[in-house]
Amino acid sequence: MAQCVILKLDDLSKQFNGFTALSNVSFELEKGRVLAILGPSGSGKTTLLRCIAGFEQLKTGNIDYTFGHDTIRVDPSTNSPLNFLAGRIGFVFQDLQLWPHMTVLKNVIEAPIRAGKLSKKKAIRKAFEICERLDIKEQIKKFPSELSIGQQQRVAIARTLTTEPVLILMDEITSALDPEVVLEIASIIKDLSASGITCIVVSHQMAFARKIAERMVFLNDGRLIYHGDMPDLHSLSSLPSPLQRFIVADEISRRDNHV
Amino acid sequence: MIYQWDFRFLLNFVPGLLKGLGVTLYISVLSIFLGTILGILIALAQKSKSIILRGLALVYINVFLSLPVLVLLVWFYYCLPVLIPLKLSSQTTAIFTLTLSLGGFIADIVRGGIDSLPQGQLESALILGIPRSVAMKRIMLPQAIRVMVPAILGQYVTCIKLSSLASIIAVYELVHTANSINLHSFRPLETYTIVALLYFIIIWPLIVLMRYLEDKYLIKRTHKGYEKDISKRYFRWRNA
Repeated sequence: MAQCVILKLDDLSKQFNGFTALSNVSFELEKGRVLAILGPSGSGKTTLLRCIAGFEQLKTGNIDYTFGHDTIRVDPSTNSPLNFLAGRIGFVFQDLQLWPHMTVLKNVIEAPIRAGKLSKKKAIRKAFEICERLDIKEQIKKFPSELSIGQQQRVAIARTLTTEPVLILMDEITSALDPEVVLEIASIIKDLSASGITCIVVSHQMAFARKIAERMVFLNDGRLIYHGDMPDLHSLSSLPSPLQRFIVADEISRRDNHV
Repeated sequence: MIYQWDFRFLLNFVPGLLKGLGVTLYISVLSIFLGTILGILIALAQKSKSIILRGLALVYINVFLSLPVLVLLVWFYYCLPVLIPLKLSSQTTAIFTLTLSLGGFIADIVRGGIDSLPQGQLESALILGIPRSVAMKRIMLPQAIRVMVPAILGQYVTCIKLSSLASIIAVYELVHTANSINLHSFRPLETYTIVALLYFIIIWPLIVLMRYLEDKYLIKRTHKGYEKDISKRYFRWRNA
């Protein structure tokens, strides 16, 4: 069965004050897949994710989105692409950006009420469903800072799910977590993927990416170096050299941690 | 030599002192009210898309943050009427000057309050489809106010204290009244002690109110980490 393409990037470039953050990035992503974006620090991973989310004005190239029967094209002439994408794409920020002055419940029901125009009653029922699914129902009356970091992650994901996005973008969500929480997050991402939601996860940990993703994109200095299935350690020599270095460095640091 | 305190003579001047107190309060309250509105308008101008408005706001804030209120008072009262045919009463000049000065400070605080929040707080709302104006009102402003309220109340207190400078252009507020009483009684120690006490009586409740507002209304609604963070900065007396 041919998978339908949900996201197609074509020759994407982005500059900040003359600094080229991304140049000529092109790839496609099929619906329901989990894609990992990997690369060293400063390679443009987050910028790429922000471009896909619609936070950034593109310099060149275009992005095609397919949401069910709708297709949307974002190119450099699109003013504030966010207007077309908001609510259809979920974004989990690196530092989560939960709203600290609201309880978990209020964080989760804010979007359906203000954007989805749901009644408060329906929004609360929906919030309870989502929170139960993510196992944070007990925490619903607490403020974000009263939760553990793993629970905060779940709240951030729950908040995203309220708008029923078909594509969820996650920016380095596991970078500061202990291994146990990383496993929990990995299983949540797998669940999301199983329910048909496409996920793009930015990470710099090969092991985490291997756990969750089927496909990967590797960036170096804003250029796409590798795009395809998760690479096999045994076929290292056939990979481009920046990716080889990245994988080897990741392996070494992982083994050091295990000692 | 031990000074012989004698406050009895001041009983003759009670109506005068009360009137001075009234004028001080009048000038302060009006300046605070107008200055706050002016300050918010200037902060909005600085956040607007028009480059002219932004430039004007920037010049305004820089000028009025740099100039001493005393110099401004003298300039507006004695110099301005020479340049333009407009003679304001001393009291109006005092209110005018304090308003302009306070406006600059309030504008800077409001701008700082909005800038202090991480951009992601707004972006996280926008990507969920929450309209920008709603996000500003429900997500940004409630958080910005927490940063702003202590600083703004502090400016109000400063404004009341600065109103004493209006005595220099003969506004019959508290200090000027005290100066006049001195000319009759030659007992400055008693007079200025009472004036100091009166200022304390006006301002101290405000400081208590400031702590109360922060404590009860603003802090309890936030979470624990935030509470500690704020209280460390603004309620040393409580946590010491």
